[in-house]
Amino acid sequence: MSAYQGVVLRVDLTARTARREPLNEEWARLFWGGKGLGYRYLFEELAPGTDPLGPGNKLLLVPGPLTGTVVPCSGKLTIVTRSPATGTVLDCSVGGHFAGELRFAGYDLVIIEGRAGEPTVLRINDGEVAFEPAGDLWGRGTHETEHRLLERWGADNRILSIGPAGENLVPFACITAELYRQAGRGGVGAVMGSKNLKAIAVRGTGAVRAADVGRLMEVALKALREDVLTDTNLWAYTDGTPMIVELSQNAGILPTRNFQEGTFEGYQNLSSPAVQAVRSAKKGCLSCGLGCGNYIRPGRAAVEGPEYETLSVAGANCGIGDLEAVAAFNAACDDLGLDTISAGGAVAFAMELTEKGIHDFGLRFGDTERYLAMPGLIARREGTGAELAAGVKRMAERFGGLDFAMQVKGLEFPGYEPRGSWAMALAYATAPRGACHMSAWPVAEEAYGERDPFTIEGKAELVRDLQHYNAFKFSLPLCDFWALSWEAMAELASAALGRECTPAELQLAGERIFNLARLFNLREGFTGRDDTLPARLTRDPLPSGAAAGRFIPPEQFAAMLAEYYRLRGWTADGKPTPERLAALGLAALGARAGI
Amino acid sequence: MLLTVRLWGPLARYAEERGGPEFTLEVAGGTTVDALVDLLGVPREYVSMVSVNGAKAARDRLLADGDIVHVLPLVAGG
Repeated sequence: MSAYQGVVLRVDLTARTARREPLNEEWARLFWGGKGLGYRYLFEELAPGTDPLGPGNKLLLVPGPLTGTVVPCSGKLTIVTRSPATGTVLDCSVGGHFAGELRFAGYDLVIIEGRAGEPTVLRINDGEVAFEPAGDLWGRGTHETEHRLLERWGADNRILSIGPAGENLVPFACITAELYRQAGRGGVGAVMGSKNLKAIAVRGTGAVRAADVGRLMEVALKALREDVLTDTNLWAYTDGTPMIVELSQNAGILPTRNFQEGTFEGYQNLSSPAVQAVRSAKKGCLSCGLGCGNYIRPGRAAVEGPEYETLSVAGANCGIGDLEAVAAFNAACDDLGLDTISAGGAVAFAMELTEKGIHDFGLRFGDTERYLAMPGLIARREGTGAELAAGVKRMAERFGGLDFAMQVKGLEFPGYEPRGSWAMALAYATAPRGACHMSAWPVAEEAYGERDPFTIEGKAELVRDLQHYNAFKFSLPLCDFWALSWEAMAELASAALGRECTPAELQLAGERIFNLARLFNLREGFTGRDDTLPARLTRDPLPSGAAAGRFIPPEQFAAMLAEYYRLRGWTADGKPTPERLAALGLAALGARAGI
Repeated sequence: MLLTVRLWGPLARYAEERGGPEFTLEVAGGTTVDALVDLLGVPREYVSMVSVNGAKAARDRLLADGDIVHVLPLVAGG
């Protein structure tokens, strides 16, 4: 199969064995790579009810058929597992160079199973796999871990690692690559920690074979010139995600003080001009012409970032309008191996619980000193950090405040206030991994664009279509920041695979992949009743900004959700119908999920 | 009437002859947001949002003397 290496590497940490298996070519044809192929293997590999932090859970590293080719923006790695934060299927992506290196080493997929008897680094060097002791690295941050491994084995290795948060099984621990890039959400780092796996190093000296190299070069170069380096995408280079602070503030959807408000008086200190004023360098991933990363040095802090999600959820949402403080929080989370979105959400929730007199965490909005102490306390589960390390949902179950616990299915909200972007509310409620901005991102069309953000009209269709788009795009996988068309994806795929792919085939694959995630979650006991929102959003009007006075009336949310199920060919309680599953080639898997 | 205008990100290149991304501009009374975008030579399809005085503005909004207008590009992802 052109563009695939045809090899799966299965690593058993318990037995300390590694073996090569042939890639399931039918699955690759139907589910491609990245998110989709990861979902398909995980569905097969995990018994229902597998403990996410037990040795039975598996960690899948999945590049895709375009990874390591000349295709622009194709450097993403997808990590798939069952989430310890939500219990749902979980996929996370991370940029950098690891994904390409894994393909150069000859693999389309790595399945990591079992649990090592002692702290271990998995070392993949082309066809050789070794289990190296990591006792000297355990307890250390991701930065030191990565530096030491590169010193030991050479700078041409690529590293994934966890910090103390992952070792201590914090359910929002992330996996770090290249110091500041994260597979952030849902606790992939805790799964790695539960396996006693401190880091993974890979070095590959091979190549990826496209079906028609000349055609792929031609298509990729044309795409780079005419579709990547254009006014549609170059915001990522000129500014990067800090520009979104300005958009969100103006649209009134910048989460502020735990989603009590949609505008922040200190936003200018967190917006793109403030970031650019202290920028020292830019960075891009493998094959990327956009280079969205910003290295900054505000005051004594230094970080690659902060990205928009951190500036919003760990900045404005905590009442922190000081770029140096947010950068320091960001750098600490990166080194400790914490997702800045969920960490920011937990801190903001604790701040509101404290200010409302529900439980005193000693945290108040805007208190920089206590705010900066929290990443270390959470990662090490010390003091109040031990309580915040449970995540927002479990904190609410224990201390109260469920109505303003900003989470869906146990995943904390990212940086978009849905009362000013009603399709985003539906996207949060229906994303497979909980409150997620990577399943669909309709804010671009409504809050930042021309569509009315305060209506449910047409939003079910918008969210459905965007979910299919991302489900497919992240199965090639290509970076989120390249806004390419279905036609462009079909052209790239055709040249790489050597068979003519149509946009319709790709769209159907996107729908298939999205439905497979739903089947996984149904098999784990999730139902339509879990497609819900915190009461704050359906009850309390926003006090200020372009969305002032807005909330999402519960009957309108219910109507939007019902329309969404209907458009999907799902039942009124959110289950795919056997007919729709048959059309997607998922009938047999549906039967295994009780349909 | 006099406006303060800022073109964000890649759109700044449409202001190269004006000395930088932020500048003042004299326009006729009755100018709308969309008319201003056209006047600046920025293709509408590259504009995500136009904000006036810190809040998203409708494209048919009439601008007023002293308004601060930001023209923001398309973005993807998040």
